[in-house]
Amino acid sequence: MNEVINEKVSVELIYNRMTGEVMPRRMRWQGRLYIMKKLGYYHKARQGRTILHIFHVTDGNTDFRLSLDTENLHWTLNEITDGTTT
Amino acid sequence: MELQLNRNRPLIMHIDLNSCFATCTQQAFVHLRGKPLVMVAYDTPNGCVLSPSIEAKRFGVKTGMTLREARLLCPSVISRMTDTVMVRDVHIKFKKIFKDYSPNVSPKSIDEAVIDFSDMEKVLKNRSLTDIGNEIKRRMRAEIGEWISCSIGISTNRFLAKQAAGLKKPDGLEIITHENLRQVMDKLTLIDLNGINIKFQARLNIHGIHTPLQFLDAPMDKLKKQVFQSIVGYYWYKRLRGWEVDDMDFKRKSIGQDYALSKKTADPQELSKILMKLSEKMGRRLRRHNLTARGIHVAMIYDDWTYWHRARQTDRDMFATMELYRAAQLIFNQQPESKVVSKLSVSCYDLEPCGNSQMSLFDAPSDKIRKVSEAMDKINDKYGEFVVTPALMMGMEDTVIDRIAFGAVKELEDLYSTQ
Repeated sequence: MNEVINEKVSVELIYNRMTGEVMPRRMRWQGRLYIMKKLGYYHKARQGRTILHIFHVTDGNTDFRLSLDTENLHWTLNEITDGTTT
Repeated sequence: MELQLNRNRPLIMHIDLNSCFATCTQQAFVHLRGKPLVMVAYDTPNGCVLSPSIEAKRFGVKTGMTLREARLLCPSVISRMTDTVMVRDVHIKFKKIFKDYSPNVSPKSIDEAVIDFSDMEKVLKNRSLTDIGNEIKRRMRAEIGEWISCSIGISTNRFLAKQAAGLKKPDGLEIITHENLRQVMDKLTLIDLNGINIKFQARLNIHGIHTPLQFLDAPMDKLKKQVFQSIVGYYWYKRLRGWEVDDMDFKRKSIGQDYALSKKTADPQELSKILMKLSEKMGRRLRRHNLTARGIHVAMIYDDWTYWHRARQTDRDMFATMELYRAAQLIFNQQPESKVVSKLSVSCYDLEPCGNSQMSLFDAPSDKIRKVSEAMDKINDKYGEFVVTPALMMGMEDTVIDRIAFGAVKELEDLYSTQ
């Protein structure tokens, strides 16, 4: 199942100065807390001059595509997938 | 005189990302890993498969099939549209890794590149290219993602290096030298050779060449004067022997856009809107390279697989979207009959650097149109593509979406220029 969401979410981000790792650790969406276990891929994207930081993360059950808008520092959950066809 | 096989040290490395679009998507979405996945142009039963994952390929799913056909072969196949921004990001990252090894890196497409180690022997310090190849594989996994794999081919020229990269997929690393060339060729068919399609195969068959080994043993005169009847025969003669003939850089001659319609139509109003959006995308690229065009070409493939196209030179340079669109619309209106269109293409040619063109004495309004186009470009650069568009493009947000062209080295130049 793959679903486009595009909803604002609350996100807690961690930065490890030793490894340089940056990763959204916890996300609250629709009243539920998701604890992220792994970063799949990170890249930047541009919307005009605004830079978006795109994080593909997983909590072990569902994969999330999260974006951080550097213009206003707001987080958006773009899409979710659990790797099934239905 | 017969040309010998190239016995020099193999210093050309061809790197090919395995199932690029699908692998990148699996890298990002952990739950798609290890599952049959196809990247499609449209997520509909008739949508074309652009890239099957390694797992989907095991079921016989191939590029070019429809999603319906893929589902017949593998009912559990997952379909996704390509995240073009992410795939381009992967390309930039792998090109950066390659640049650490040689300044001569030539991307061949979004998922392929050639590293030329010629004249680099001092830097290599007796390190073998196999060793470097393995290190590149390790770095791609560490710096891009653990699911990213590539096939590497090493040889004395680009053709044989690409051939070597295709010998073992996925995750291969193969070398073709003068010592194993005949053994490698013995295992291949003519159609396995890069650049030999069924038409070339038929042409070779007519002249008694049925295997790559017979192709390799064919005398140069036969290839040049009988089989290909041109210099192409000589190029093949050299290429097969491991000598370089493909190290060429072509100048950009045209800029074009095309669109396979998701909803085929014969409605001229609908087609004009698509033509407008294609002209705007083409115009953006033209202006980004600071070029003007003197010719325009419009082509259409109809639903019944017939084809119509026409090109026209204009009496003055085109720069603004409206100038390009107007010229394209004039050609479009010359269609002999109105039929259902399945693919629409527009391109401009006779490109000249901007500023070299002569100003028209009598057509001052064109200057205004150009300034409007430049102002619109500035707004779109700041706030994002298609924030401001010509009114004709209203409601076209989900049409002619961003795609990655197959091959298209020139598109990659656009990518680097925007970085």
